Amino acid sequence: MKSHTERLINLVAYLLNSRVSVSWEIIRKQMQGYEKASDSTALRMFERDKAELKEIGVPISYDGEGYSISKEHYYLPELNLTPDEMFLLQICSQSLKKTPGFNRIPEVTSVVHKAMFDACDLFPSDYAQAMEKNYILNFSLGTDTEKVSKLVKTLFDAIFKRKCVFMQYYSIGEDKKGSRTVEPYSLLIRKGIWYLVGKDIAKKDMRVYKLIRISKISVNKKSPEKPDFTVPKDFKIKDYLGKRAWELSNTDGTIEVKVKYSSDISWWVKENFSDRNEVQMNSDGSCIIKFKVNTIDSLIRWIMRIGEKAEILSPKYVRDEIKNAFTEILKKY
Amino acid sequence: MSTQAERIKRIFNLLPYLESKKRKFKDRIPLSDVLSDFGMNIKEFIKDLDVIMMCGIPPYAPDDLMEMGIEKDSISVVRNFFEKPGKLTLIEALMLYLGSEIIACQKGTKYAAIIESARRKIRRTLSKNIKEQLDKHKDQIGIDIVTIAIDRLQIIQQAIAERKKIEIEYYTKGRQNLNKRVISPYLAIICLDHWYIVGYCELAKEERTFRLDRIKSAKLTQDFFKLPEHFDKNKYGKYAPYLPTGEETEVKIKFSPKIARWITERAEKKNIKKLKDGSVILTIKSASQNWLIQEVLGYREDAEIISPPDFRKALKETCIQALKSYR
Repeated sequence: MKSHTERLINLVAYLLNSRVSVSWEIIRKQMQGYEKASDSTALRMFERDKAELKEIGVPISYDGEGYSISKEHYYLPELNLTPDEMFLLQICSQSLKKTPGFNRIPEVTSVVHKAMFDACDLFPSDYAQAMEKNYILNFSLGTDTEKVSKLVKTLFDAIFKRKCVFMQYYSIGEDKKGSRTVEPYSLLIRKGIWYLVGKDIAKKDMRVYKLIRISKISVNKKSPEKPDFTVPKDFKIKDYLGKRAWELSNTDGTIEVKVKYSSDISWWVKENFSDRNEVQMNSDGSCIIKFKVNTIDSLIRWIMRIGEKAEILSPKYVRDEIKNAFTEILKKY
Repeated sequence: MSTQAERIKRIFNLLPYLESKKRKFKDRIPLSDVLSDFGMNIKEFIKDLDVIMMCGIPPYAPDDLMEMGIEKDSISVVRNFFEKPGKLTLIEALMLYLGSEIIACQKGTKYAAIIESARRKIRRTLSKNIKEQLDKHKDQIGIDIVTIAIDRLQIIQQAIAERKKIEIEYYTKGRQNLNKRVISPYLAIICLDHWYIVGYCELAKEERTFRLDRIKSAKLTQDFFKLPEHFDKNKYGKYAPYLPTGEETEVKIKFSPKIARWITERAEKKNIKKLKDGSVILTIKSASQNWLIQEVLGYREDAEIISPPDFRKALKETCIQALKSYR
């Protein structure tokens, strides 16, 4: 009997190159692969094969009499990409392939092969070529890449199929491991570190998990083809991007903290924070920014790094806290 | 996914790929190209080829089977029933979207425009269902990249492509001051979530790395530069955009038991010494005293510089100066 792989290739080659639709009876009789199985087994094999081919993007249609694969529906039309467009897509895919996690997803490679199909020779412009010669696109660094790669692959599949995951998670704040059942919604790379964003079933709330703290993960095996959950309509991964530490978790309730910055860094502060916070420029070049803060400690830590170039103006208890922190540090020295 | 399923996908991609290469190379498709493009070794490729050669269309006479062969270092394709690749699957479309997002999110740059145009052309070929699914699934992976200072990035990208020097106003975080410099930009790096520019700095008289968001202004000059022959871009970006200068100072920092776990998680084991009371001592090398002091201050009362003495003295002075605002 033909191998499973050979049978699938034969089925696609047959239907793709047949001018008319072909009935199951003829497929069974003529095609290599089903001939030695009993009628019912052969039919089950055929149904499984069709489902598998559908999953990898091969559309087998049935017209009431027989099966066919329309070249028009199956084949990728000409993309008419310019050499510059192809060249940059290739560079993007190469950088994705170097990223732990993505490197295990074969579609990163296959999509470029498809996009490049029409390309006989690439003659990208000097400008596009400069991207290859003079750029490094690297957005995921870090240690433990093998572990992270495996987790990304598992979680990506679970997110894609909307299946719950069971995992052991090390809560660094509590210094203990515990079991979690999570509806995984999205993966996130921030400062080269992978996170999982999802809903903790027991806590009935959204949580962000650092991948390196996850162990013993498994995906719900019950009804593999049926999604376990629906992603809430208001979930947007963008809500989790570009956030500063003091904007992330809401442990202290949102309060407004007014901070003054000296004239030499006010432009930088304005550029970085004016999209989400009110910035007032002063005539001496300094600026005052009103931060919306969820975790005061995180903001204080960040302001302390700036030293004398930043001053917390209000509220008074936050001003007192930073003063105390500097005073306590001084005692150590 | 099982190895068998991956193999099936690979063969379905390999067949039209070989067909397209045949048009370019006729009967001499370079074997090395195929192996590198598919990340396979020769053994795996021969195994795939063995399967392919057993496949074809009824009645499976010799002329109905696919026919390909390897001769020395090239591949010849005689008969192939797969003329073109299939349309993009949802995961392929998603990978293309994610991979290109790193450039596309720098809206306003020439590179982003090229990528956007490619995305539009590809999107047109997707079925209605895949388009809808793609829009839903886009939220499955988020890549956090800082997208400010794009006006300066655009000027720097032009300077890199045309090999022109630029004049920049740069905020040095370590020294906390703003100064003007002329740089010859050699390389742009997206590392973690930021853009960095590597180039020769005429002020420092050496190769330096600049973080894009700290460049207050950038102006293209009419002076050209030549990329030094010894410049090796691959030495950058593997671990960090900054390279060690060899003049770093060894610094020991003690962290309280309260935050020791976070430090241990992040640092290399060899640089950590655990103390009996639960605190840890981290040994690191720092090229900038000011930068290190800022980092240590970010840990508030939970971190203390143990050595060297001049770093301790400087941190104390920073605290004294900062406290003047809170009298």
